[in-house]
Amino acid sequence: MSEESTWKAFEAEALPHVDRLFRLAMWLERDRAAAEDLVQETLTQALQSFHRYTPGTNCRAWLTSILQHLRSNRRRAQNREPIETGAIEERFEQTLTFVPPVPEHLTDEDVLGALRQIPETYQEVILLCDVQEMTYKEIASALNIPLGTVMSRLHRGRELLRVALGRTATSTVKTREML
Amino acid sequence: MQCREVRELLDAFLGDQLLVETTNDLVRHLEGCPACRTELEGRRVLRARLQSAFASAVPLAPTPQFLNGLETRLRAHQTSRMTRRSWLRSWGAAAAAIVSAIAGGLFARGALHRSRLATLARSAAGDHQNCAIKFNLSERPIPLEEAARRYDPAFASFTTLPAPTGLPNGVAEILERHSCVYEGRRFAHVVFRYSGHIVSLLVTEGSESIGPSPELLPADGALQVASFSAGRHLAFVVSDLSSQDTSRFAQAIVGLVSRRLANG
Repeated sequence: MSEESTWKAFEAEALPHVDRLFRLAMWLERDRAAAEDLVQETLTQALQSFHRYTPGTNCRAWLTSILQHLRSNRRRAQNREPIETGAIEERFEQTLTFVPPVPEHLTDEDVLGALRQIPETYQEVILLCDVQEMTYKEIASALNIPLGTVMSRLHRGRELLRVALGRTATSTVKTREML
Repeated sequence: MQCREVRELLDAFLGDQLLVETTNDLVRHLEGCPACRTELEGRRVLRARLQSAFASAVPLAPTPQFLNGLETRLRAHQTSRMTRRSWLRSWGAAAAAIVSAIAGGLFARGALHRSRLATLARSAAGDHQNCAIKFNLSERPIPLEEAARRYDPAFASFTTLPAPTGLPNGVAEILERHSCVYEGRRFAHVVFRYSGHIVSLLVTEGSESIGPSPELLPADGALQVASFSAGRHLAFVVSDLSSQDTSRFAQAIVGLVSRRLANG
């Protein structure tokens, strides 16, 4: 494939996903410059290895997978390993006895605020599944974890999210009452 | 299936990750269990809210400056890689990169929007070809009502969309309406027969830059694609009619679609 035709295919398949990819990077990095670097590097690497992409498959998942691998390598280089979730999972197992229903009136701020309250490893799988719309298999490959771990993290993460949302809803009601 | 088992599977159900048999068992349970239906609705709302919050959060959005420079930097990088392979060839490529850097800085963002719209138009044309003409989709179409419940509430409004009237070459009749997926993109799909041709109306979520009046887009092959925006959705009219007739069909249907999606 010539340089120009590679670019045209890349432009049509990959560039439409830049916005979502950037939002994910921004959420994970919490720093605009770091997110811009990460997305730029992701797309550069994707363009270099575009011959490995199978047209018609999920390009967003492919790009997200590259982004996650790059991020993981960077964190390893900076000695910023993700928090070990085993201990956290065990702790929640002991404390999480009731999962509240989803509050009726949710704002965008409530949802994003609650998501920030749960451990990062859970945020990550929820975002990849619910926002990036990746399959469990794609998430397992992107995060380099077993399929069963993806499913258990999702299950636990969603429970934690609902607990956090319940707290947010209660505090919102209290604030409204105080006003 | 028991409620406990169903609740463990509800998120996978919403994400379309269950086997057909499991989905059927789960749907049967839901039909007779109001409590699980309420739980499903809660989870659907949470998932949709998460998606919309993420998509609209201004602090998470890329800046125009970043987007403007992105395409240029990528192209320059692609060119510089070639430089290492062949100095002689790279001289021309480097010149192109410089020209691209100057021109690209001005037009990159517009090109990005255009390429997104062109990609969607290609998906719409592919869906028309593979769903309405060849019945050859990898994923089975689902009723609009189900798609509205699970993916996009706005799709419900297409269950009652009438055929457009006042067309110059006779009457349009509706043959089929459903929701289908092509290349990962979900559409509300209404299929018409008009003047002996099959015409598709395909609606999907999107905010790419196109106005509320139908506009013909460049298309590959014999198919014509006209597009317009309505609320937070994009509509595509795809057919093998002439460009003029496709455009007229789109003109006749734009009001019907826009009224339904004005708040969506």
